[in-house]
Amino acid sequence: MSNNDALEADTSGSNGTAIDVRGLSHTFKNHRALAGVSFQVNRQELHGFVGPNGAGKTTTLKLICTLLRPQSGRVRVFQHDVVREVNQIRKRIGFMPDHFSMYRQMTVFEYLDFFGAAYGFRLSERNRIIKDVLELTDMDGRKDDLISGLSRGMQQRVSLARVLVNDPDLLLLDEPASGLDPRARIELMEILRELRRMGKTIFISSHILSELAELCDSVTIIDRGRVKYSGAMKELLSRTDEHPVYKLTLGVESETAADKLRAVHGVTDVEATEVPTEFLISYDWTETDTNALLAALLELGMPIVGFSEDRKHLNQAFMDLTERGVR
Amino acid sequence: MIGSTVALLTRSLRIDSRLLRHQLLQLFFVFVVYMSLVYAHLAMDYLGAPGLMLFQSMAWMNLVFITLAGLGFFASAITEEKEEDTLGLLKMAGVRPASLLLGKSTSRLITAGVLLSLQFPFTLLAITLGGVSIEQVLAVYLSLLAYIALVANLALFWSVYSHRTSGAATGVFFTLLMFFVVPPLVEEWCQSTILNSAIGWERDVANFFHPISEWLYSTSIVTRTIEIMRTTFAATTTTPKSPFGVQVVSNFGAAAFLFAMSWLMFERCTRNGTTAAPARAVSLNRLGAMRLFGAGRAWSLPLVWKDFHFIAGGFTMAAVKFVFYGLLVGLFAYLQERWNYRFDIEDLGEATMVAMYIAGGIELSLLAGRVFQTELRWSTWQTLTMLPKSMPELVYTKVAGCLFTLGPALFYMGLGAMMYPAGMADFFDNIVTESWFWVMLFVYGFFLHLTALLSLYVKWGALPLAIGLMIFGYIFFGMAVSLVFMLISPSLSWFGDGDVIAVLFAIFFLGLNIAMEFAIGMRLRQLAAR
Repeated sequence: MSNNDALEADTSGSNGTAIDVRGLSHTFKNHRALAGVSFQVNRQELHGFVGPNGAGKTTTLKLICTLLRPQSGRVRVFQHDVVREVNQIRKRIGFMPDHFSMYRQMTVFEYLDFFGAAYGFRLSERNRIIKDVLELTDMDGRKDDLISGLSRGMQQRVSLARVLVNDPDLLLLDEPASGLDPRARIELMEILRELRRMGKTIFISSHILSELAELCDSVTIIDRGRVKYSGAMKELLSRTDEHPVYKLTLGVESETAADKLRAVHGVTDVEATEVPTEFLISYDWTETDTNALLAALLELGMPIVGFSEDRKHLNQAFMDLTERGVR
Repeated sequence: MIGSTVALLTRSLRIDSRLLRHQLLQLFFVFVVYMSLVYAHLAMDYLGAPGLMLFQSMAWMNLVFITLAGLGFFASAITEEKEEDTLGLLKMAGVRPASLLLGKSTSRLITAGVLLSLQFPFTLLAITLGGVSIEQVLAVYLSLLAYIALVANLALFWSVYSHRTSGAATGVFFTLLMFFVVPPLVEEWCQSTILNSAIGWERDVANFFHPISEWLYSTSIVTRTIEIMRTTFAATTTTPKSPFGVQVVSNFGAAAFLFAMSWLMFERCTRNGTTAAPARAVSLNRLGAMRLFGAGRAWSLPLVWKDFHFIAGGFTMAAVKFVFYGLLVGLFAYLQERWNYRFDIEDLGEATMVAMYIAGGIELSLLAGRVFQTELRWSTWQTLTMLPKSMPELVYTKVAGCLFTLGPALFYMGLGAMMYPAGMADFFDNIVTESWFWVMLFVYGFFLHLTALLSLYVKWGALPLAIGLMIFGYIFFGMAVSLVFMLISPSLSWFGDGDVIAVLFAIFFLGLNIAMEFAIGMRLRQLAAR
């Protein structure tokens, strides 16, 4: 069986796959950007694509969205080959690059109207589509504003609205939260959650794993052109050497609190922090889950004022999987 | 202040010296001079005074090069810092305006001076070849030096005033156009009025403006170069003519004045920084009384709509051009009446058609430099290529959008044809019978393609660069063709009356046009994936 036949056999019967990347390699002059990258993304999934700067994220995205041709390996999007079936793919995807790519001298409405017409929608259809995407991105009050006059967060929303104009099945977002303030990030993530609920497949790249942890169903971690991990986000958490860590904040100081917490079922370690009322609790996720742990802690009768996941272990997972060094 | 000036100067010179294009430009200049020498040597047997011919061609070439450098090279001195948002950082670092102006403009002057100095030893060989004296060589180079100073400081002035390099280059272009075109026209009008008018207000006005226009005319490098190249300048070797003419003194004086103006205006023009967003014409605003001129809803050919409204200026610019061209036709009618004492509708029709050919040609050239460049500048090309459309479809619909802007020129061309139907008939007749018509058409097409291709490589100045390359190419091509004809002159009869040559040239340039189309397509694909 030839290499191509083997690839064909692998991809057959994968109708639930939105993106299928196999043995992808790409070189720019003397720099090898990708070296045998393979991963799959299921339909209606929110997939994180994480890696440090220069890992090959943008190159992979450009190969998926047909802007680049693979030098070796294969990319299929909804079973369409990115080399031979470019237009079929482009009709079904929406790509948001990592830089602002907008006609800033247009108004928001003109910008969306232009792309609506470019996708071949009639005037009446365009009116409906623009109304819908503006509502979804919460930009309906700003449709007559010049894009150049909008804040970065607002411009990112307009960019997302543009991506949605042709109602794509797959959204490819390259670092969409880059440069946004915390509020704009949270709002953007809310919009993405809403889109996932609507049945869209979302492929989102980022260099911050913890940013995507709560959002994504699955994740691919890439470093120096090689995939370090690809699979469910939950499984990634279980793979880390450390147990999940939660930060517990009590309303009052208590000398016996640490001992009481250690006695809770599933808790493997309790660490006091510099703040006397704060504790870091590690637990064995195979023994208990977060809800059960919280319920057990409440049963202790201590005045709990805060309980949140401590993100350090995710960042540690990212550091463990990726290599040191300037890229 | 001296420290920061030197630091800026050194930085600019280092950056310039590292650029491959500067090295190539220097190499290209030496190559041009060398080729001119070879040509002059080979042509010695056929032409008299080959040294003068060589020197003349180099002098005029330098003049064109300096003018183009004013549009594309000097005009970005300050605007490039504004566009890259580094001007504020330089000011915060304590760099004073005078240091900034000196540091930024001097490096460019040195680069241009180096290019001139490269040719100087070769130019002296022109004296050996005969027909030109050392006084003429020195006088021309001093004139060119003064002209460089004028152009560099004019560009610096516009660079301080404008937000973007394109604005500065436009300012330089129109100022130089006024400088070269208006004084001769006014001089012509004054002389004609003084000679022909009876005593009256017109004669008084002409008498008033005559010395001014005469003086302005004498400050032009063109006037000065023609004067130096005359044999009378070289012949008076016993009483050598001064290389310091009115042009040299006035150009240096104007350069100093423009530098002072740039300095005085600097703080005021750079106080509020600049916006990264492209400008939008006020009349394009969807609200208010000018709504009729707005962009409205996207057309069924959306790229045509976008490029017509947001690159070519839309209905607003079309209206402005309509009025401007109308005034131009009115001016032709007035001048005809004034100078010829009669009104001939056919003459007016012919003048209108010729003017509109030129206007349309200029408009197309400007658009060729902008049609893709604007997409690259605002990073929108990648997004456009993601549309489910092929590359040729994207490219040609964009071009079609820009062609809409030719509406006013075509309208007046049609009006001219109605006034002079025989001229239009001649034009159509030439299409069929004149094979050189096709050569001209394909050469112009090549120029447009070259401008568009260069705009995909350089951030600004694609049009001046294309004009420069076309002029150099024309000189080379002319030399190469005439050399070939010198060598094969015995078999010239084979080419008949020249039609065969024209057909060969037409095929050659058509091939170049097709090659350029492929080159543009490939470059656009590369840029989409970058």
